[in-house]
Amino acid sequence: MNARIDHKTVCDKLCRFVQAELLAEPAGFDEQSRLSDFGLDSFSLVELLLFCERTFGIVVPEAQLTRENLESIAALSRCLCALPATAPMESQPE
Amino acid sequence: MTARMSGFPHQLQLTGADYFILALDRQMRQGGMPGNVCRLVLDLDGALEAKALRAVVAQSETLNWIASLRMIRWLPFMSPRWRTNGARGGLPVALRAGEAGAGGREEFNRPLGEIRTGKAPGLNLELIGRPDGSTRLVLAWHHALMDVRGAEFLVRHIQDRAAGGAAVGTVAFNPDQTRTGPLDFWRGFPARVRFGRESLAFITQACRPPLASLALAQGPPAAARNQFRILRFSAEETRRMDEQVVRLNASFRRGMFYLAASIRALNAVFRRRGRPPESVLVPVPHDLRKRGMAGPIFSNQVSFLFFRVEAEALGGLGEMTADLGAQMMEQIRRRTPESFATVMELFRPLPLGFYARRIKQPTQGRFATFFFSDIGESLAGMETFLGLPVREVTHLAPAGGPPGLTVIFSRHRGRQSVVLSLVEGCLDEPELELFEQALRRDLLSEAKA
Repeated sequence: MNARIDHKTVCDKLCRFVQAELLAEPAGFDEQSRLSDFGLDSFSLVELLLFCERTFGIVVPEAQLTRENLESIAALSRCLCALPATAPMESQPE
Repeated sequence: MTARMSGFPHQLQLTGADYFILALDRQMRQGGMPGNVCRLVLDLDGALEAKALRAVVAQSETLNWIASLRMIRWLPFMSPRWRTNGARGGLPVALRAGEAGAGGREEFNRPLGEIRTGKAPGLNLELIGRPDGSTRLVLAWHHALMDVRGAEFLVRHIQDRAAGGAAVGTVAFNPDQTRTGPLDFWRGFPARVRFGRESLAFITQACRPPLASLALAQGPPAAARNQFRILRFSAEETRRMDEQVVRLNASFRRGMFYLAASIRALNAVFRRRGRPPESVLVPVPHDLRKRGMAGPIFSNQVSFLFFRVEAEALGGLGEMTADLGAQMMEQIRRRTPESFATVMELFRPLPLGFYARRIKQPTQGRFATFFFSDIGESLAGMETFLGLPVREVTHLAPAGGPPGLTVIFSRHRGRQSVVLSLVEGCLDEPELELFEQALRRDLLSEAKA
């Protein structure tokens, strides 16, 4: 369990990133939305994983890059919270 | 003086990708091919009235505007631009009777009419009435005018207009391209050069010879044809393909799984030819639009990622998929697509011939082992077009020699398709059969017979 971050903070940050950087029409997108329903493809998911590395200092290992963990922001957040940090965070979570 | 269409710019810059594609067009034509012309084919159940389509086309300002655009260059070393000639009703809609047999696939190999960017509209529509009462709609366009996603937006636009949904409206163009002042090109020039250098160094390294190639040693014949082979997968086969993706833990890099399978299929052909393994280079287009955007239709809003697999790493499907996935991640981390888009913009003022030669230089004229694109879901959610059920959607991308082969993956209504677009003679019939068998085996996880 990663003590430096909590599920709600991670969800908020990831949702904001997706809404601002990846989606043209962010209305209706939230942590429970299926990423594929909003057209987020492989390239977008890589952007999202790189944002996790930069922001939370967490690299998601290959074995954790499963369909279940990449289904929604909430699922990805749960995965991140269970992983140890591998690098310093860009900034402290709010 | 030409008339202006309200709400549409009189002139626009080309994107860097437009000009890059124009350089490839030059290369294709010099190799005896028809040029960088794409086709989007919709097979519809039932007869579509040409009159109905013509009426929609005539009413659409967007279609009229795109059909009126011509590429011009005022002076050498000045960036070319798109400029409207103000003509209305310029988009041709042709009507033709289709031939019977083989599901009309032989029609794909029919020579294309001339489509260029300078004098006539860079796109046209053709309606082919088939003997079984169905209709084939073919949108053909010069690739410099728009990319594949743009063409799909255009088809959606026609559909929306027909349904009376003017308000639904797709976005026709990128407003950034309307900045055509003399100083616009030079804004932030030093920073853009610095940013572009990063990808140039990487790409020069990735493109180094020797590279595996299908290109004919003596070049294609003077008037080579573009041949197509289309692999259709049933809903059940597509489901099996998805299971294979999950098994290889490739859910978030499905495109890399397709690419790895394509590389392995081509490698099977090289093995049959008795050639020792060589490194493989495949550039893959990357859509720069935000996801969920309804446009822009016009211009190529893409950059590229460059994948290289060394000869000694041409191995198992799972390992290669993982390796390609890691390459994708690294390039996005280094912002290679954005950097390469900047390079393409900076090269716009170069004369086309010089630019085309410059593109070929790093690979010593080979360009790539093949071109590849995963379009993903094609015309997602579109079940009918002008009231008729859409049976199939097919993307026919051109092939150039070199590299001789373009592989396009796409999916419509839960069924996968793969289009192999070839320069005539690069693969013979038994080799095509071998490629298809090897590809199917990997995609569907079938044991070797």
